[in-house]
Amino acid sequence: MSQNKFRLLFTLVIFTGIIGSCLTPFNFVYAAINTNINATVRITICGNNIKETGEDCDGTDLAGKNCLDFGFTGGTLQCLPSCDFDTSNCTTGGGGGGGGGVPSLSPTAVRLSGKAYPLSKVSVLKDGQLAITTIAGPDANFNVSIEGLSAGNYMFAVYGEDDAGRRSSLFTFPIYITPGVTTNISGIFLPPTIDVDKTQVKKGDNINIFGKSTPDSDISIVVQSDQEYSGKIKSDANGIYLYKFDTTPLDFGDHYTKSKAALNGDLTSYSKVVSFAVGTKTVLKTSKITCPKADLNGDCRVNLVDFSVAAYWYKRPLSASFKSLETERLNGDGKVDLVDFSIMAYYWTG
Amino acid sequence: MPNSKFQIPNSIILFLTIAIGSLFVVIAGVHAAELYLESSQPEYAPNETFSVDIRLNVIPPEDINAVEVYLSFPKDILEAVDFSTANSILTFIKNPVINQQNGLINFSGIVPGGYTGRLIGDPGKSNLLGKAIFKVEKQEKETALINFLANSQVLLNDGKGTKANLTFVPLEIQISKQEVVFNPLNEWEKAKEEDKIPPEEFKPEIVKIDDKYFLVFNSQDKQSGIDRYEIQTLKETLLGQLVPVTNFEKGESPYPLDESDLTKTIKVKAIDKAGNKRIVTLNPQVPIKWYKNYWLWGIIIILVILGLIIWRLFKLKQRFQK
Repeated sequence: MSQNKFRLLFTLVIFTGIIGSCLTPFNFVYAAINTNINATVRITICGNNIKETGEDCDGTDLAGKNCLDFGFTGGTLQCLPSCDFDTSNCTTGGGGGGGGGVPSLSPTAVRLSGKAYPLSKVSVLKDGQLAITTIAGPDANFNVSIEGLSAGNYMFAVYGEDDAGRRSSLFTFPIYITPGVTTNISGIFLPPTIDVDKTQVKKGDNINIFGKSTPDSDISIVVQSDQEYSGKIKSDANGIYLYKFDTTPLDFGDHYTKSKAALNGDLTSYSKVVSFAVGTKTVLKTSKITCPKADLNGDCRVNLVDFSVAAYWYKRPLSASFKSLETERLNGDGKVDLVDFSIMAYYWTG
Repeated sequence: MPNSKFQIPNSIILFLTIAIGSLFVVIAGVHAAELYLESSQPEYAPNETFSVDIRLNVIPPEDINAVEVYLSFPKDILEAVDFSTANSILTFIKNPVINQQNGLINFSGIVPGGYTGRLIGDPGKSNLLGKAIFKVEKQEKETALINFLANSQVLLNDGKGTKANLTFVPLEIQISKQEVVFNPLNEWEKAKEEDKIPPEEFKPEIVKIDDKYFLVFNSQDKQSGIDRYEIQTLKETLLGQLVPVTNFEKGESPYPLDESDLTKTIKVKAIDKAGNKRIVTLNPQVPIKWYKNYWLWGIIIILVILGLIIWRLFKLKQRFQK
């Protein structure tokens, strides 16, 4: 092939690549926005007779221990359905014997544990519907069980709510629940809550970005504009963080911010995204918690009820009253289709 | 034109072309989702029934939350006999639709909060969207291709409903010439036979849409999947017993109600593909107006009769005393 033909081929490839990349949006920026890191989540199964990390024992597997290891002189060491040791049959006088536990029957259950925010409400959804709520401890740790499940695939989602009523983004994961065992899902690390103190900030002034996370964690703040600006701050002993962002480098217009937390090598996914504008004057945000988009019945939740309302209008001509609701709460294109349901799934609270 | 002193060798240009071209291919395909099909066997015979799993692979860090699938199948070779939603990661918008005449299956649903793929350590394959059940009608060709139509879509969990880059992996089933005369319990019938567990507990609610009342409900069945729902209304008799106003009627959520239904007891029955049932009762949402409360009228009438009797006795007593 001649030199000129090679140059022509080279130019064509570059040109095609540029056009193709423009038509297929470059996702490096989107990757930063939508990154969902589940590096900390661990799954173990209690009830499969195999002692795994986080379990003391499991069924007949007592990890080589017996009553003597617990200061008793005899008896039979057993394992509870919760995969903790049961020394109730150990004795302090007479008799030999040691290990050899009797297998215990575990219920079909799932146990979820991890970190939220100190004394925050933690909600667990099962297949999109609220299954259970619990309160995290002062150290932000939570531990909750759901029993009486049948075996099969489930979609679990966990979110936290801080004392100001701000909710975190959903931490979702699919899991297969094995019959007759307790599936432990540990290492859940909920993303921080986030808010700003101004809906519009005068260019050059500071905007306060704040929220709640696990105490003493490293919070990374990202402000998205034409380019990305980032900052770091540590949450205090109550899990509260507050970051003052100087808006001097931002252009006039809309911007948004998000945060994530890191602690002892574990990392959360990004928080919800909060938007604000840069303008010629400052407008303070009211303290009232706004109801999420896609809340169609005004109860400040996005759940099966809103889903059913949207399902009624799916591929059906909208009434005049619902049209205004669709404009305000969904994507405002005058119809209910898969895009509206996708928006609803994004803002889902259960 | 004389050659310039500096010339790039053709091999270098070719290498750079391939390298940069490959880079663009990698960048364009760096975030993607894949719809694919699975069956337990590669070959089936005429009269055999089999299931095809419809699954979704999500390549991290992609995060999706809505799926719409259009599946085509050869209508002259295969009959789509059923669709199971058991163990699906989706919350279905409407019941899946089988259009045998056009050889199409269609369904759509969402994953509240998003889906980023299977978790490491997950003991099961939790990426199932649904199961299509087919029966081989005849052996006209040696293969039957089941494929996704191009208008199938997967949307990102970005709050805007952006379409994800999507690839399809179809399934080609071999059709054997040997017809099955006696068909032992096929895998679908076996799954239904083994399902002894009723659908999961659920909580119906009443919602108002455009000044009309509707009943909304949703259950799950992890074994064979929900087949249908049936709804019945009941009212309370004078003796406090519940008697049916309507029989159990098949219905979908949201189920339209009359305003008078708000004063009645409503029962919702979820039935799975194996026939197992779960019935949930919703008590009257609105108290009955006092003038429609037969108990109250009964008490009033009894009190009036008692009052008349007492007054009559009093009058008789007065007469005797005179």
